[in-house]
Amino acid sequence: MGNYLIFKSVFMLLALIGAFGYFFKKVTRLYKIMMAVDGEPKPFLDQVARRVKVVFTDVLGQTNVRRKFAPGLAHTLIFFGFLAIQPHSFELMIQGVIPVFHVGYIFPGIYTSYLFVADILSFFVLVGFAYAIYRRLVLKPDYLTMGMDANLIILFTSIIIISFHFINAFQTLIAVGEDGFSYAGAFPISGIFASVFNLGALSQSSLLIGYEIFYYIHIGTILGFLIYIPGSKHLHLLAAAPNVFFKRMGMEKAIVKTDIENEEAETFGLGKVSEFNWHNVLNLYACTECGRCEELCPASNTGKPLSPKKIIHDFKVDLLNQSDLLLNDKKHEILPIIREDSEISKDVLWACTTCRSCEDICPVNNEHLDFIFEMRKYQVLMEADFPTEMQETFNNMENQANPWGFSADSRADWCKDIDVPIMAEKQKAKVLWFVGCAGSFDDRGKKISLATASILNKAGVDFAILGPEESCNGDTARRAGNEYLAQMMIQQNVETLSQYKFDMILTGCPHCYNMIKNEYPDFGADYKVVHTADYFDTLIKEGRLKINAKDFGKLTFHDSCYLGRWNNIYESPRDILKKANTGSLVEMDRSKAKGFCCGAGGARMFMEETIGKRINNERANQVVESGATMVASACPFCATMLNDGIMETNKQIPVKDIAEIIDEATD
Amino acid sequence: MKICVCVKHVPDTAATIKLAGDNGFEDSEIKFVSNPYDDYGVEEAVSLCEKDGGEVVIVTVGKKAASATIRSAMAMGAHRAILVKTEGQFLDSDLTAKALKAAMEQDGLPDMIFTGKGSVDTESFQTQYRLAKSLSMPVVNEVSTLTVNGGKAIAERETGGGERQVIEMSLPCVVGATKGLNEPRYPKFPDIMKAKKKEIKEIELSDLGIDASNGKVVIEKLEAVPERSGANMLEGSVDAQMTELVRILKEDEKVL
Repeated sequence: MGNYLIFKSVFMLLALIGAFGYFFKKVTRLYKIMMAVDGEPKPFLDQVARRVKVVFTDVLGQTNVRRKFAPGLAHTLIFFGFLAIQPHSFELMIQGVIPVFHVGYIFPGIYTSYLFVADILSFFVLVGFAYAIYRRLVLKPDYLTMGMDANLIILFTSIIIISFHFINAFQTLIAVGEDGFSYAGAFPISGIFASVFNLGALSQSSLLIGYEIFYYIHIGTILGFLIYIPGSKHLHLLAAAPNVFFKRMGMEKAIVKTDIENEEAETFGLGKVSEFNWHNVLNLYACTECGRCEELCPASNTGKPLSPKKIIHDFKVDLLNQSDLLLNDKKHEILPIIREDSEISKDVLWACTTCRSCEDICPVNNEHLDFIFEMRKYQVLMEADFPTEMQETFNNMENQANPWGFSADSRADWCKDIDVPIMAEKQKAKVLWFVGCAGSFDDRGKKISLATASILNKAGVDFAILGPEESCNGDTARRAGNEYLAQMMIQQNVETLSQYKFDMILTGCPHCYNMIKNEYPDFGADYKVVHTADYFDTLIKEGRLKINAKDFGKLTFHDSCYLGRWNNIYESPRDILKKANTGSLVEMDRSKAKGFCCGAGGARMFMEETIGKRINNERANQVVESGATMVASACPFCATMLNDGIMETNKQIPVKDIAEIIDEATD
Repeated sequence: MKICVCVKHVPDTAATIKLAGDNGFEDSEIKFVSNPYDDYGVEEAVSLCEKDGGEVVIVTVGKKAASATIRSAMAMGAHRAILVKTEGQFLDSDLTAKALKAAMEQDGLPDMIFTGKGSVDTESFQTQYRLAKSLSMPVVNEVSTLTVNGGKAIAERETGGGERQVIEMSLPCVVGATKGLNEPRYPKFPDIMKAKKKEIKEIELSDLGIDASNGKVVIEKLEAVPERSGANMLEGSVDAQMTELVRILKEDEKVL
């Protein structure tokens, strides 16, 4: 026995040093990779107290993952159970080397209570796994990666849990020596294991052997798991919590302002993996390919080659494959992300509508769009390689400050027959209404603008527009990667806006809204920006607009991505629609935070959609399925896309902007 | 190979032109661009030089502000530029060709000259012919396919009715480019930045011995094109529509 104990001590010591050493070496390498990339991260170390709190609620509280109920609950059970057994397993490891080590001697009361709780929580891991296996073998959702990786991990962890219970069961049965510690009553579940497997019938020596066997199975699997983690998607276990800690606080975000005047810069945007920033890399480490992003992605859902889950995976593979070059100062040899035969193709890159449903749903708060935006910048600025149809759009914006190329000086022609004041003449107004390109030039948009003007006049609002002085807000250029052109547009507007006095900027277009509100501050223009949905709501509440509700029938509201997910405006459009409509308001299955894009975002409005189904047709089908007789939107681009989509369904479902509905329902 | 590309600085056709005086227009508020047909010439010249080496020189006759247009052509890959400065937008084709010739002679004559098939502002469609004649070079206009090989250029042009002419000429020659010749590239951002530092040699028109007031064509008056009135849609049976159409052409429009 003495010899065995010495053998066990030495063996365990070597095994522990080997496994932990390997693990730390791997993790250190991953950390070095994360620190070796060149990209400039956004500042992420503000609001530390709030960040700590978020880790408590989102990670420990598991709130984020439970937004999908059943898998989330299973994850919670696995998470807590697995955490709960760790101290005990760690103690067992030390005991393997130093047999006399026993926490129970020091804190018997606390120790027994801990074991009691851990024993119960551990069992719930198996319940969680039962659901996980059921989901993988029976439900088989499309968005879930069915790979060996996931199955292995379930196997590993199940062995760890089951062997944990057997170890406990043996411990309760093994006779307690004079200076021993009694495990009586410590293991409610493992006690059941003992009786189910009739372990009580075994002799003391058999019990000791059984204990040792399960000890090695338990510790061996844990150490195997430890070696396996850093190279698998289960790196998630290590990276998820820090990733959540460093997440973006709040939904509003701006595309990073690239310093295009920096003459030292050799490249712009994201062309190869060494140009990630560390936060990007942490994102890659944190992903466990749960597929929630893919489930919601409008591109994935309509047969495009883009899957947010897959790009994160592919970035990670590309990064790790080229990590030797990265770590050995051979960055110049690193191949570009988009190259022949690379998984991330141009079709993948340009399919994104930037709707942000992936980011919104991601349980570890990954920001997929950061990759997309920076890669598009690289493709346009450095390679001039983008969908050919965008060239005309870019030229139009550069020459006439709107994507269609209408004469810039005809920007206010939409209101030449009505009385709309121009800022250049007025100099000062309470509300500066930024009409936008769609509202100024597009036939559908112009009708929405006329309705908005009518509402503002009814409410007696002191407003003015910029007219020909207004430029495109820069959203399309920026989201298409043309940072140079976008900054040109932004600068023009910033300069124009600074000439006038006003209390707030009103926009009817969520893209204008998002740009001016969230992205113009980086260019020195910090204004109060209000979307018509919120503004009409305020005007009604203040009694300045008198609602005379009409029957618009069964109405549904289509959330614009840039109003909803980008800016968290979900309620005000619904509130005003409920007030204006004597009929009912129904919700589509995909609404609010899960709203399905119309297909126009991310400059997709101006690109051909040739792969798979059309996104707007898919959304139109969802409108039809809701049973609505009319659909309301709060974005001129959504209105156009929905209208085109619905026409192809052969249903008569009119699409109206909230402004048109409110105009009809007010006196 | 040295290639000169004649690029004109013209108002964007989308711009609304406001007339000023009898024969001028307000140019401070409107956007000027490089003449779109000239862009095909720039692209072709740059591609040729990328393939076989050489130098692309932009030659522009225009106002000082034309340097913005020249920069955009240089962002596409042209190496340097010569700007022959004029006071006004309108210089007739004869003087323009003379200015281009003088500037090119001063710089050293090129192996090839590209122009657009015409400029979208004055649409005289003469400069390339006058320039070629004065330099005794062959010229083909409206070229939509071009091959340059061993001192020869083979140009294809559409002549309408589905016919194509294939013309072989020796270098040096003048090629008037049109749509179809290529897809003018969108400049890469670093090239835009580099273009800001490339050389533009400015020459006064008078320094070339050309008097702007000596043009053969003088614009006496500019008038806005009247806005098109609404189309008159004819209704009824085909016979009735035809009868009505003939009546309108005879009685109202008096063209028959």
